Amino acid sequence: MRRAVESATILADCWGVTARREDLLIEVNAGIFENRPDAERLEWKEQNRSRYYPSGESRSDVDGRVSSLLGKLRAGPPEEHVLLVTHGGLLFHLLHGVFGRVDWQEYCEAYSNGRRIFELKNYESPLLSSTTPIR
Amino acid sequence: MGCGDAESHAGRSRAVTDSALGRFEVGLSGWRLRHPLPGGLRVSVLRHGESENNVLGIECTDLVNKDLYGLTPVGVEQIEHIAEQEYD
Repeated sequence: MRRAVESATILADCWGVTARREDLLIEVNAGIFENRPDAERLEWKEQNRSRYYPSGESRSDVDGRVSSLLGKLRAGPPEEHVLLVTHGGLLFHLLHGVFGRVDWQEYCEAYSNGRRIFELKNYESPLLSSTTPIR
Repeated sequence: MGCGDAESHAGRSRAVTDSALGRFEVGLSGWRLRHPLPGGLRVSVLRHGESENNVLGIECTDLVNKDLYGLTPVGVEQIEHIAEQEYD
């Protein structure tokens, strides 16, 4: 959370706006891999074909958080422009919650750390790129 | 998932979607919102800048460890650059 808060604070200071901490945006809990080398988690993920780790948050846990977050946004002032600064895993679930499906490879290309701001628009297109179910 | 229609369109040319996308040109433009946002509400997203745990290759996500790792100097520069680019 600290890295997301730092990022949001830099932006808020530059733009003269207020940053607010939202715990629903905390990264997905990786359970037994917490504070362990990423390589161990990635190996387990590959072997088990799952991004939900023992003792960590389940998919329903994260979906619940995303659902709560979207509910908060919808309940807020309708004329606001909100920037969510968050973490890779949670952002993937957020996009999945909003769009229904997200291609992991495209996501990784588009949403590397600190790359750019994307606006979620009420955009409808008959065209969809290849999709991968979330696991 | 409520996106069976999405599946029916899967596999079509991405290049076509890339032409009129603005900020969604990196493969995201063709995705449709499953839950439309209320009119007037604008929501943008940003993944935090490069952080110390990224560089160290350490997983840290839960509440116990959430404050251990901050941005690297590169991460700070990334965000400052975005702040300058997006300021209007």
